[in-house]
Amino acid sequence: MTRSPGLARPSLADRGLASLLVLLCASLVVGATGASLWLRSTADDLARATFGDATYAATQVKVTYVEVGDRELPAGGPEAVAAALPPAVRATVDPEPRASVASPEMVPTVLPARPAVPSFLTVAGLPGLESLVEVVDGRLPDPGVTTVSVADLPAPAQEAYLAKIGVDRGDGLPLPDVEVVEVVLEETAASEMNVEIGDLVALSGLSFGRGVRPPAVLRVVGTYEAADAFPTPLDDADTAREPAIDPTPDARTVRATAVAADPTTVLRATWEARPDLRYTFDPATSTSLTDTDQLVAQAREVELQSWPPLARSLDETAVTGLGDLAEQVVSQRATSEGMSLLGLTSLAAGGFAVLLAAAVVLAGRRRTTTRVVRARGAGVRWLLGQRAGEALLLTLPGIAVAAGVVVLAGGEAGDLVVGLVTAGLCVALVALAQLGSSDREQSVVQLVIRDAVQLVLVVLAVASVWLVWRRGDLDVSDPVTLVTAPLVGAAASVVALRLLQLLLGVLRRIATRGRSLAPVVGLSQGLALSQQVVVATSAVVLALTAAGVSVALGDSLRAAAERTGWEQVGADVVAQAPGLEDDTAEALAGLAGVEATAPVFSAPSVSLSTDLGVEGVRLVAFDPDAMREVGADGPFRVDLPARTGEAMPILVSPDLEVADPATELRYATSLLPVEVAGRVDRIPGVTAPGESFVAIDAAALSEAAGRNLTSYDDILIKGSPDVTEVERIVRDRSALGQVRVRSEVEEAQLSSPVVTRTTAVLLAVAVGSALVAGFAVVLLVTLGGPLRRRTGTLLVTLGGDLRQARRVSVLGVAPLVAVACLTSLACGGLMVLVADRGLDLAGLTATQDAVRVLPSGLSVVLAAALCVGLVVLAGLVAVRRPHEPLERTERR
Amino acid sequence: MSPTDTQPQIHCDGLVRIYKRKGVEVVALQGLDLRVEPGELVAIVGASGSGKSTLLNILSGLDAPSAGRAVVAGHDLLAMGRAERRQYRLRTCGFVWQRSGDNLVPYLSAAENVALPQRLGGRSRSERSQRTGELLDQLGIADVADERPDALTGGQQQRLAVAVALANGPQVLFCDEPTGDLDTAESQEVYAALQQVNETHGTTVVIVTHDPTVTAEVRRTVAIRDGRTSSETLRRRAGEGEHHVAEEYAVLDRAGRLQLPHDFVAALGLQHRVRLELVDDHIQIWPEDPR
Repeated sequence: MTRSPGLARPSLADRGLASLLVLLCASLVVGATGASLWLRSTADDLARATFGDATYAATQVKVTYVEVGDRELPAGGPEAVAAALPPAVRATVDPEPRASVASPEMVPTVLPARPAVPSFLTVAGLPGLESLVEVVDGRLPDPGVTTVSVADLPAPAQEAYLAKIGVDRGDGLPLPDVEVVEVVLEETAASEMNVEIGDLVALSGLSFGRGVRPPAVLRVVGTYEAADAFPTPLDDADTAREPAIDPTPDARTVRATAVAADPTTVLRATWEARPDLRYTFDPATSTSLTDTDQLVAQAREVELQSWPPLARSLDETAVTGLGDLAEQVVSQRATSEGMSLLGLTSLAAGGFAVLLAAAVVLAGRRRTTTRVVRARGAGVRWLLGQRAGEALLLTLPGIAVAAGVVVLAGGEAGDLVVGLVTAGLCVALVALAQLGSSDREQSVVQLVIRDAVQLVLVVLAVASVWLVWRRGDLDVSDPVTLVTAPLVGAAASVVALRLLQLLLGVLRRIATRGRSLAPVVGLSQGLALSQQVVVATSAVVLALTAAGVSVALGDSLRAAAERTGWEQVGADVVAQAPGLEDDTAEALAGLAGVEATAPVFSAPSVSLSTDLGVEGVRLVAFDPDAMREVGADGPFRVDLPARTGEAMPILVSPDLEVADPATELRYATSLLPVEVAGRVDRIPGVTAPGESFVAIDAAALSEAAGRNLTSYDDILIKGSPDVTEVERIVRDRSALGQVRVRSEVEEAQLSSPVVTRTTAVLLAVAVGSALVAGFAVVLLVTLGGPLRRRTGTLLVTLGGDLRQARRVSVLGVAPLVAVACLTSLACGGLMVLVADRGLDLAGLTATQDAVRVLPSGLSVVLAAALCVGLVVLAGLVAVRRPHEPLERTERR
Repeated sequence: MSPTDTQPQIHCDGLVRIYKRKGVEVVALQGLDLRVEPGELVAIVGASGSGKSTLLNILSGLDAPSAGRAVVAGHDLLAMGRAERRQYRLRTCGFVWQRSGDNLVPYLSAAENVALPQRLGGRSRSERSQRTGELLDQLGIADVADERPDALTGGQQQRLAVAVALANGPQVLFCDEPTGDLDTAESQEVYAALQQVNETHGTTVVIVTHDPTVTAEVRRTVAIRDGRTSSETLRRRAGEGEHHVAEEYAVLDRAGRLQLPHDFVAALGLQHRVRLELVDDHIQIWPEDPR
């Protein structure tokens, strides 16, 4: 290779430094591009996986408005509402429908057969067909807020209703209101029942009178014509597509129903009362759901529309076929990206800090050149342009690699834009770093500016933490969220170094009084270095903080998955089937690997006297000792005390209001005195979330009630039996039996798309942060190298021995690294608190309770060991080169 | 009593130093002889690469000779172990290098720099304080005792370096280009300081420099050429007043070898062989007969 005449060949160190800058720029640019591509593409995968599992054929946009009085309705109410519909919704009303069904939940692809007409009704607001018996018995649906006075009911209905509730009109008492269920009837059924639209109907049937609640009163709000002898809900399109406003004068409900099956229909409505409520997904734009790419693309195009002011909403609900799933995807994605963001921003800031520190080193090596160039008349602008050009050249390899990644991985232009913006930042940092003052000593003005910048940094960090804390949500689209971690890391470094300087100053003064040399010189050296390595220290803190937060979040996800396993299984294995008996329990207990079993007896509904009256609750009975043993390793405790008096101790669910602990429980034919000994949120593996239950000692219950409890619904198992064998035993007893294994539940949680995506990012951040932290520590130590070597050589020349020189070197660098590590721990702790406040990990792992963001004990120990290791590493690097004066001649 | 009858402070006899640089053997000193008496102020001059800095590194215990003999204040530099060498650097000799960065710790104050060798020597706090104050005062930099080196002028830095070098009361002070980075006025300050040290403390001072004006500042100047002492210039006071006369001598080694001054050789066109003739009180040298 030839060189231009007159140009000095760069030294090996200069070339190495330039290569390092190229590597750092490339890492940052490619890392940013890759992160963008990964987050976007995995978000697509997440949505695709979620929607791919759904079997929706259609969906519905439905909004229920309440508190709309008649006076607020214009004369042509229905038409006005229809006219005021958002264009996207109206578009689904006007053209010929492609599909339609009212469905807040999944629509079964295969509809149940209709055994008879009119046993089924299509109930507005419920999916599919509902059994008339269920409706009439008041079990379905929840009638909601629509009520009418019994006095307004037709005479036959009124009489039947009053008879049922035991009210005689001759008593002169005011008649009560009754809740109504709005139904859309199949035309033939309506005709057979002799009802018309607007009629209020109280039906009687075979099951009438057996329900707990008073019978529902139906209001017919529409009819539809069946397409064939077995009409399906899809046939009620013509009725359901029109917004329907109840014409009854005292109606307090306006229901606008739009059926969405048209590709242009999207869920983008906002409501005046809740402008923050926003649905960003409309997966229903494809009836076949095969084109998920299109769905995901549309999901990103969030636009806001105004619902007509005609209908005011206090408690609106939006029901779509996939809306809940979409909301789940959005929520999970937000949580996942919030977690990723904390680590990524901190890591990126650490990377930029390392780049800046390396660029400053390069600038220092080129100081003479810069001084000569300036002396020959080069202006700041020319120099900036020249250095920016050089910096651009340094980033070109990174840009090229990033472009290659985008092309090969099928990324989008947006991903490359992220990389280019990062490259621009790299160029700016490298160029500006080389414009720094060529003088070693900073002027007073520069010192004041430096102090002011550091003060502003600290204020901004405090403010950002306060804002995030007050809001309690790590919104990934909020700039404050984006800058919080970098600001906290940088500000903490500044504060820590200032405090270190104070501490070193005091220690140095104390050491000066003694005879020992190493403390005086070493502490003085540390004090001098602490003023030169702010950026490198920040890089260490930011990188270690990113690693720590990533590890803590990963630990929390694993802890959450483990908790979910305990919540759902309650032991290592649970066998569930109705009617399991003692022989089954004994067979399971005899399996190899089984350490303990806890059979659980259940009664679906027993009466418990509460402050609100007698309530039907689920009875759960078990052996307290066995239950304790099977759940001993888990996070939940079900401590049922032993019976000491006449009353049996019970545990109750939190929703039951029992002020007086002494109460009564009716089981079978016995009225048993019981005493509430405590409340537990759940019986893990046995009760469902939100279920009302009473837990009791099975033996005591059996004795008090005089009945043998030999049939169980659940058998909790501790140990590691052969699951296949457990299944065989359970299925022998009941074909409906199922076996759940806690480790499989945990594994399923951890392998879900959103958790996999999140842990992959966290792992990458942790690994990247460890690399950056290690490099930053080496940089921090290396930056003090010249000063350290100069001191060491002088000491040895003066007659000191190598050990003294090494002690000085270690004392000069160890406090810096130690403080950087301690600051990282503090910052990591703070960011963990912020994450705990702003993120809800339960949404990612189906945990019933909120999950705390906490590192595991092992991680804390490892972090402490890592810090000690880094300090030792720094010490070793610092004393690596002996300060042997006999090298003088050879080096000359 | 002639000078050769006393025990010299520095005695080099046939000193050789060979080292490798990038695989090439370099003979920096090739049988150098030098004798410096206690309390002398000597300058060693020579062109770049003549071996003067190598000599100073050997004398100051920072480098080891390949062969020959070197004794400083009774310390045989070839026989010294690591511990003795350390003690030698700590208590027997002091150094002043050209760059202040090599002499001073930049983040310590002037007083702390002077106290640094004393800490190494194990002196108590009061002893350190007293000695530091004395030295700074003698060298005229007491007013900057609390300043860091980068706040001092070049001359002050080198005077501070002298103070550091004298902190433990060495018998010999070695100075390698002590005025190399200084202007004339500052150089004068430093030479004055060295003369003061020499006269006040009786410390033997050896200055290595390529500055030809140093001859006017010292009583004896030794010139080194190609790794050997080639000539010496003695400056003595002639008659009354401050009139000084400098006389240049060729150096005769123990084996009787003599290095003729280059300009003499050139003037007479001496080559290969010369003809010697011993007369009553001197030796005559003639060019080889062209026969």
